[in-house]
Amino acid sequence: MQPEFRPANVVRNSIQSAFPRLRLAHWKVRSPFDRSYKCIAWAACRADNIWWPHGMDPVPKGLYWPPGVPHDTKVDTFVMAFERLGYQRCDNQEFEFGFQKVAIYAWDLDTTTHMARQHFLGKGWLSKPGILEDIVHFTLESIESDPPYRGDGYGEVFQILKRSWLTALFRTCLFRCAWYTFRHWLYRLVHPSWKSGGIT
Amino acid sequence: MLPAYCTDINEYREWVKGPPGIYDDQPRYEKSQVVQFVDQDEIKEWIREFDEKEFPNETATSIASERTLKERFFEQSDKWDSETAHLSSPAQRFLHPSYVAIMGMAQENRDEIVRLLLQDMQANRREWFWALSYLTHENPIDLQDSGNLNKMIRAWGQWGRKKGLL
Repeated sequence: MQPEFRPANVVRNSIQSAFPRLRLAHWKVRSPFDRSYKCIAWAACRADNIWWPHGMDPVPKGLYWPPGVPHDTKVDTFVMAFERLGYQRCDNQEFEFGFQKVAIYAWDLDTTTHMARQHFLGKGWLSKPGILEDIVHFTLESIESDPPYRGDGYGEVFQILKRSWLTALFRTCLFRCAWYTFRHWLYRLVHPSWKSGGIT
Repeated sequence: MLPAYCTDINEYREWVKGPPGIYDDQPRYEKSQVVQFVDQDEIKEWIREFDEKEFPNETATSIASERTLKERFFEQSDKWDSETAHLSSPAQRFLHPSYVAIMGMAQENRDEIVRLLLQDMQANRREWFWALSYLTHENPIDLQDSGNLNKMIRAWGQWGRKKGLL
């Protein structure tokens, strides 16, 4: 099914109501509405499936999770899943030339809620908030929620991971990232309502 | 001064002292006499009279029956979808009251809710995989298709057609 191009004002309202801090922050929409992938897959440079630990069911009920990684929502579990992609723990969120970074949001060490991937050239962070449009937000804090963490907030950033561009290249992630970025750029270029809505 | 609900001082003492048998070492009334204090039929009658007086045209039962299951299902599913659209964590999405309400509707007519879930999943591509698995105790998704939305929806569609629900 083709992605859905929602009117600019609808997109803006739905995202800003989910993340109130974005009302005062600089951010942009980068892709159409798409239910086929969510934040963890997007952080792993995938836009063709949904990643999340699916519990101990013998057959997962609708989610992909790397084989051999535990099925819980601990921050360490998500770190382990991304270590399979060549990421390592890192202690700062600043852009480092030659490295790709991801951030893990959580309520606490046991409850991961979201992941964001740093722009390839460090121009902000790419997030796929659930089924909504991809966004680029220029600080990690702009989609954090206020404590106490519960309900529908993302909590705060608990861990930053990084890997070298060379590692990303070997794992073909860079090609996928480039392809999706190009596809989304084409969408923004050709879709008239997006151009008129100034959504880019 | 005696309160309005007491006619004499003995009755007032009874009220102040509380129900018989609770504070006394020895019960002052037989069980058959105590029952008279909490006549269930009488309480139900009071509640019915109160409801008729305060809510002459509306009761919980009448509100539920005025609108069809389908209408209530789509109202709650639209609400759930829009209010949890930004979430990836299934745990956060399932805790939404509308999701719980939909699961509660299955108590009224499980087969109808399963049919509506399947229809909605085919039409709007909403993720009802957990609800369907929970209600039907089945899961037609192949392990290699997990995470692929199109294939998972197709698998449940085939299952629904096989069961005559679509």
